[in-house]
Order: sequence, then structure tokens, then C-alpha cells
Amino acid sequence: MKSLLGLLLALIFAVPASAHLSSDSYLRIDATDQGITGQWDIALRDLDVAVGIDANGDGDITWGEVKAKQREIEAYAFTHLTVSGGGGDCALNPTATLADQHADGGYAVLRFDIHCPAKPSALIVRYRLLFDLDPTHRGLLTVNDHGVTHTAILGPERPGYSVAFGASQTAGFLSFLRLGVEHIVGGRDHLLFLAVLLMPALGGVRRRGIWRSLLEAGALLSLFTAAHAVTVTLAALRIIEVPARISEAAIAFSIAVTAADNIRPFLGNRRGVIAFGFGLIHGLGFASALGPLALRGWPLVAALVGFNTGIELVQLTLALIAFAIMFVVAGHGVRMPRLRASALLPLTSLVIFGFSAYWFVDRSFLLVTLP
Amino acid sequence: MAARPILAAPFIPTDDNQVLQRVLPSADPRLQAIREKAATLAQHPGDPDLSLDLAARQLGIGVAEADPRFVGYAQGTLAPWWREPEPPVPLRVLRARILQAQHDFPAAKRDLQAVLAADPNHVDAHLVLAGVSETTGDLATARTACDDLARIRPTLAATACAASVDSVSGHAERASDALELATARASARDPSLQCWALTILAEIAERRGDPAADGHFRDALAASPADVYTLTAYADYLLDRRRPADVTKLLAGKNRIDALLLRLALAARDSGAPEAGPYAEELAARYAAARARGEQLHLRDESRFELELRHEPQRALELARQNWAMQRTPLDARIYLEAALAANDAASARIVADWATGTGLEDHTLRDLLAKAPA
Repeated sequence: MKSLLGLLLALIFAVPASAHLSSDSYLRIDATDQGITGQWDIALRDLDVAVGIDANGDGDITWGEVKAKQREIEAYAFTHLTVSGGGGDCALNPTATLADQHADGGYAVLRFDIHCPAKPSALIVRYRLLFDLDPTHRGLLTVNDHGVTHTAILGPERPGYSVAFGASQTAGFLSFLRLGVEHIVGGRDHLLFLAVLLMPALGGVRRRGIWRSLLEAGALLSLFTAAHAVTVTLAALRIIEVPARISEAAIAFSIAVTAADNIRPFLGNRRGVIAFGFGLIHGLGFASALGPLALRGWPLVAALVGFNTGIELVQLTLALIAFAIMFVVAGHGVRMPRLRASALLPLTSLVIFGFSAYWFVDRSFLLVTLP
Repeated sequence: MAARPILAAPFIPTDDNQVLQRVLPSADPRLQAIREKAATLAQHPGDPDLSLDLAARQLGIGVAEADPRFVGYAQGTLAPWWREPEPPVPLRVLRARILQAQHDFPAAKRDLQAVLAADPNHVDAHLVLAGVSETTGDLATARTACDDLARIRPTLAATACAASVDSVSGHAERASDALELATARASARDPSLQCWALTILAEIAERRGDPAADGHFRDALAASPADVYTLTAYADYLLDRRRPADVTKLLAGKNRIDALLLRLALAARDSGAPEAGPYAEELAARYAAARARGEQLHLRDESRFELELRHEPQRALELARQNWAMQRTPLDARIYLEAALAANDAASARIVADWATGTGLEDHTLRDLLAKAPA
């Protein structure tokens, strides 16, 4: 019976059926002890629109035409996918191109190896195939980590996905701790915000003494962390959803406001409120980097605590280093040529204000012009 | 993966000439026009007139071929305005039509009502608003839109608009007479309009049990032979009258369109043809692929698939209920009622019965089904 059905199928699909379905690609990542590999099935219809495969324009896409455009197909696909882990972006090296038939017709199947800078404890997938041409395109992602399967639907509003490798909660905690560390170290926006937030406390170290300054900075950092932990959690649980475009613009705005307060104070002693309020916004930024988490129960708790702890560790470390420098500078009366120390705060804040104001305008403009 | 049961293993073809996929040939005049417009737009990025023209052509193919990819391209072309709260009127009407094609009826309605608040004489906005409102069962809004249309431009479109709404709100005979007169008088200048009006006429006749329906359907298809909506409606009419061979003939070679493949599968089942099994498998794969991406464009058809081809009344009822939450035409009522009867769900049957009474719908198929429902 089964073979008869197979024969009928073969007869019907001898001419490829091309159902009219919405555009999807199927991206599968397999992590095993041997390494990480990927397989990406992209519809030939979509590739034809993106890079032009039907060379003779007769409406038939042949295997020969696919092979002739293999380089272009690979170049297009792999510039629209980023896989990170192990401390940086991973190299995606194509190994083979095949063909397949899905429900809506012929697909090119790209197989590739994923080489990360180090053995990754977590993978972050960022996907942007075809979104500029067809915003209704979706990437259906399956990550198979040593037999544990995670799936996600990637679209323009939700292009990223993170998954921790290793099923144990300790491993989950550590890998997300590392993810948090990696994220804030690479997050220019967050570091700049912390810099402008803590600068006055740092600058006052000589006037008010180290303990009061430390206490003030510590309080601000704790408020910031508490706030972003709240929004990261809410976003990871998909209770709130804010498009990255909006949170990015809001983050630039938060830097500009805080920098402006350093130049000409108008917030008074409300900087704690600022640290908390803008912490909520920065949490949205962290969350969009994290993507929705394919975890539940304790592994989810471990991941969230790990991620926020990672961020907090880096913040504390950097604040302490900055304090040490300021303490040495202030304590030993190191003189800066032709520059009064009191001018340092407004001057650096002005520079940062300039950058962040530009980002804000730029990102707000994108808000209006991008989908 | 559940979405890919067909020839699921990737392969390296042995023959370079093996055809893997059919696309529209580049000589297709619609595609040529789209390529030219896209090239011009690339030189003037963000130009509203060029974007409007290109997106309208893309949507045109999307609707004519029932192809969501082209609807997606149209959305991509309108990207600069897609999330704007108040885009310029022509772009906003087109955005509403794209939303309608994507079955986002509430968003489409918001756009159209905003357009009409600014420009009460916008003919297309009235027409699309009437269609969207009738689909969602908001007959009062549909009726007002048709009346406004008749006041601004009393053409065949306005008559068909009003007749369509009248026929499902207790005035089928009046609607039928008016529309029959109007279609006979109208010139064949606009075949797609003629096809639309004749299809409405055919559907009214079908609901009233008037055998003239068959001729109206055939006249509609003579005006526009590839119209997917009319082909679907006529196929359903033929299936109801136990004429599966005519369905197979009518839809030959059109199985790439999901709605038509379902009718082909039903016809194959009715005539005992061997394709019935593979067709059903293929449909299951397509519905699974759509569900994998979280899409709900097929609820009504999928419900019928579960009911008639899979014999899963509970599953069919669940899908029909979800569909009923979004659209409320006589066709939606029928599948909901059929699924409710098959699943012995008196409460759901009562919902349809109340709706039919409330609208004053005259539909003999629905009436016969309701007679079977427990009181």
C-alpha cells in the first residue's frame, strides 16, 4: 500500500508541484560531539527573486541553473545569517548544495559547517533572509543539541534566537552568564550609558571620599540591574514584546538625557529614578539580543539569573576599575596639562551626548522609514 | 519535520536538465512590468507613486494566482509606509487591500474607515470596506458602504455590492432581480467586474435553490476563466450536485492553488479516483507547512478537509470555530454547522441557527442542515 502511494506521489510530482504557500525557509543546526553543522533549505522561487536563477527565463528552474548560480546563492544566504557563540561570530563554511521538494515546491539545500571561535556554551542565531523583499517571509529554525530539540519561527519582528547548550542547570547558568558577559562587553550603548550615569559619582571621589562615592555608584548600578532584570525576564517569557527598532531608539535617548544632565544638571537627586527607568529600557535591548528562550521551569530561571548576573559582573568590574583609576588620579593629584579636572565631566559628556543624540535621530528616523 | 512528508530526503539530481521548480517565465508581461517598475523604483527609492504602482501590480498577481508570496512582495514594496499611522490615502487603501488578502480584516477596516473619514467619496475604499465587512459579518457597515457607493457612482459595482449584502440579510429575491438586470445591461468592458457580479448572482441563485446558478457560474467564468474565487465556488456547487467529473475537468492542472486542490481531492474521493489519497497527503503537508509558520489563512478549508477527508469531526469543529471568530459568511456558517452536527455539539449548532435567524439569510442548504440539528 505504501509503495503504491509512493508510486502515485512520484507520478504526480514528476512535474514539480508548486503550491502557493507563503515563503518559508527551513534552517536546522545540529550540535554533536563531532562539531556543529547546519542545513538550510531555501525555496528556489525565493532565490530566483533574490539572485535570479532562471537564467534562460523559460520559467523552468533546472538543477544545472542552480549549480551555475551556486556561488551567488551561498553568498546571498550566508550574508543574511549570523551564528554567534564561543565568544564571537562563527564562520559558516558551505560543504554541499543539494535539492529537495517541500510542500510548496523545489528547494536548494545548503549544508555547512559552523566553526565558532571557541567551543560555544550557547548559540545566538540572527536571521535576516528575504525580509527586505518579503516581510512575510519566515525562517523555521530547529536547533538539535545532542538530541535535545528547540524550534523557533524567525521573522522581521523577531529575527534572533538563543539557545544554551548542555542540558544541566549549572551548564545553563554558566552559558547564559557568559552570554550576558559577552553581550554587555560588546554593547557599546549600555557601556556608554553606564559611563555617563556613573561619571558624577566617580568624579566626586576626591570631594566626597571613596566610600560615599562607591555607595552612590553601587546604588545606581543595583537599581539599573534590578530594572533590566525585570524587563529581560518579561521579554524572555514573552509577556511584553517591544520591536528592537523602538528599544534601540529609546536606549540612545536614555544616553543623551543622562549625558545632558552631566553637562547642565536638571535631574537633581532623581538619578536613581533615571537609573531604574532607563534600566527597564536597556533590559529590552538585552532581551532582543537574547531572543525568546526555548526553556521552561528551573532551566529558564537558571538562564535568566545567569544572563543578568553576567551583565552585573561586567558592570561591577568595570566600575571598580574606573574607581581605581579615579582614585589614583585624584589621590596623587595627577595633573592634566591645560585641562582642569572639573572640565572633564562636561566635556566627555558633551561628546557622548553628541553621539547619542545622533543615534537617537538616526534610529527614530528608521522608525518612520523602516518596516 | 512534520511539514515535509513528501520525498523528504535532500538529493543531488543526476540530470542537469531536471526541472526542480516552475516559476512565471520572464516573458510574462505582468512580471516584465514588475521588473521594470522595480528597476525604476530602485533609482528613486521611497517614491510614493512608483511604490504604489509596483505594489498594486504585485498584489494583483498575488490575488489572481492566490499566491501569498506576491502579497508579501507588495507589503515589502510598501515597507516605508507599512507601519505609519497615517500614510497618504492611495497608499493606505492599497495597504488595506494587502491586509484584506492576508485576512487581517480588523486592520484593513481601520485603514478604510480612516480613509473614508478624510475622503468620503473614495470609490475603492467603499468597495473594499463593503467586502471586508461582509466577510466579517458586519452587514450594517457593508450596507452603508454599498449605499454610499451607489450615491457616488451608481454602476454595476454598486449594484453588485448592494445585492451581495441584501442577499444575506433577508432580501435575496430583490437582490437577485436587481443584479440580473444590471449584469445583462452592463457592457463586457471590465471582465473581472462582470465575473465578480455574475458570481454573486450565481451564489444567490445557489442559496435559493434556483437551477439558474449553473449558467451564471459559467457566464462568470466565460468573462474571467482563471478567477480563483469563482472556480472555487463553482466547484463547490458541482460537488454538492454530485458532479465530481465536472470538477476534475474544471480544475485540471490547477492543483498548485490550495483551495482548488481541496476540491480536486473531494472530487477524486467522490468518483473513487486513485488520486484521492495523494491529494489528501499533499493538502495535509501544505496545511502543516502553513501552521508551522503560524499562519491561519486556510481555517475554513482546513476544517472541511478534516471533516470530509480525514473524518475528524472534533478537529474540524475546532478549526471551524476559530474560523467563525474571524469570518461570518454563509460558507463559514455551513462548515461550522456541518462540523457541529458531525461532532454532536448542540451548542455550536445553536450559534449558527441564531445567526441565520438574526440575519434573515435564505440558504436552502443551511436550512436543510438546521432541520437536522437538535432543537
